Amino acid sequence: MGHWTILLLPIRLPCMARSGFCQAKRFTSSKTPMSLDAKSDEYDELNQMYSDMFSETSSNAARDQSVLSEIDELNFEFNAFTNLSISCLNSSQLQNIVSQAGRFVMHSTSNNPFYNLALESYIFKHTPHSKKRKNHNERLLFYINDKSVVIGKNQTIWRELFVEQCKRQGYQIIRRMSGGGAVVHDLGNVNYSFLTSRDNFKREFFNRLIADTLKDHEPSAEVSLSSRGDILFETQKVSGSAYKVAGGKAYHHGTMLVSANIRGFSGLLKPDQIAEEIWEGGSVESVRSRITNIGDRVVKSPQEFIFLCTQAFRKFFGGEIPEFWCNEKESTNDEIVSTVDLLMSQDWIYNSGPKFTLKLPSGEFVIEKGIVVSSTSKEYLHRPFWSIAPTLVK
Amino acid sequence: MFRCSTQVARFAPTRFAARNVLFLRAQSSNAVNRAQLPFTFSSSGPSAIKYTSQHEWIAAHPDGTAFVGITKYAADALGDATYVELPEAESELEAGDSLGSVESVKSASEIYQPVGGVVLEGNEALNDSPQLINEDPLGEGWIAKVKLNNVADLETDELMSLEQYEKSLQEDH
Repeated sequence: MGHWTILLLPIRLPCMARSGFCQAKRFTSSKTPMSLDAKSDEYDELNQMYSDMFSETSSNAARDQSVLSEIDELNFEFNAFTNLSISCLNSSQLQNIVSQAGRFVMHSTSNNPFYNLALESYIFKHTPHSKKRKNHNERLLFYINDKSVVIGKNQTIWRELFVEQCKRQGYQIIRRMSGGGAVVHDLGNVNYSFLTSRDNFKREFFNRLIADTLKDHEPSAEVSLSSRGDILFETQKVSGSAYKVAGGKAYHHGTMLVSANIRGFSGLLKPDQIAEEIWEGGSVESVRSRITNIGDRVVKSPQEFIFLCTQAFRKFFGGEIPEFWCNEKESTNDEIVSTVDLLMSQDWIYNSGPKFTLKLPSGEFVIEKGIVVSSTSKEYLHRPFWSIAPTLVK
Repeated sequence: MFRCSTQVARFAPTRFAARNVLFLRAQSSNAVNRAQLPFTFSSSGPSAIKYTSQHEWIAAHPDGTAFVGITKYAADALGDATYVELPEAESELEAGDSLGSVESVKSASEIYQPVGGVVLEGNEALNDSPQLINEDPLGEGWIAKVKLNNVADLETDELMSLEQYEKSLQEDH
């Protein structure tokens, strides 16, 4: 079968298009893969949309799995190289899908890190949870961010980053809501986020699934898990993880360096020790590791990595697991917008995080909620630390 | 304390059950440490100790002062605590509001206020020694001291006794 024949098949997996224009429908069917009670015209329409989107999935069972998998992958790649518009969820569809029980895979077509973290937070918060009933609400979200440096919730930004250098090199600075250390993202890095209940949450589960999947896909590749549960390629780290537990639920989100510009990352994260800067306080320190990409040697592209993870997630949990797409323009609501505002705020990025003390040859500073509360240099007292940091630290 | 007596009445319908309860109290690692402040704050000890499905405990004293922390079960599940985000004094919290969070092995876990009240203080000892959360989660590792709005709020079906909490753990795992 030649490529052109394959490309003419109905495309089941729309692309991670960067275009914000999402309206084309290219699926038709009468089957409804999700059970929705059609209570109103609004739901009828939604139901029809689900039917349209997943008809191909329903008929797949009869086909040969290995051929299907190749076709899927080719379709996936074809889409990745073209900017075809796709069906993204609108605000009410997003709300409906997230708040109903059931598993799904969600893709964000946005590269805006603030939107992507806000979308993740929205899905996490509104995924139903009941202590009394067994949940089957595992969700998997993928997003790819533009150049950004992301620190953990409880880190001190100036201790972890060369803040001014990050800005000069065009990296956005972000404080996420989960724990852990600092990581760097760009368009060659895939962020995956696996959501489950707190009771079912196992720290290593999802990375083990990914590592096993990559080993199956490329048996010659030396992929393993480190003692900290990180994924290693040969001896170098290719993925970083962080976790959040709240409201009876938990997520594990991680990065996967596929084809990132790792050279461009140098000079962004501070080493363990910086001459003449002594930091004290309870903040969480990053564990420095050597990093590399898995691109070329394990997977061909970020899209192939996403495809393999999606397949592994479906295989592990079984049954029909639908896939949805979100973009910043349509798949939003007041809550997502206000989370974006919070994540972008000076208060969240610079002024939250633990109390710390900085000792420099020129003096000592105690900073609480971003404000200098005590200092040997009186002129700095009560000033926000971000406003004086560029003159004090590297 | 009348609340204690109602509890005993509820959990001692037969002698066999009463003996089980006593056994559980002595054995349970999720019981409040009798040698630490959450227990010794008042001379008579807490008038009520309750647990949430999110694995918090609350020990309330007769004057309405209560201590909140996380259970041994939760602390074990989290792993080594590296940072504890404490609530600010004077914060007014409703039941279910975030009281703080514990970071452990790259994981940020929210802690919720079991019943409404005003925060008197966070346990500052956790700033320098977050590991107290693991070493003595139901004693030295208490997270917040709060003044309850209404002690009677503890008598809700949402909150569990130690026996009910232990039972819920067995059912889930």
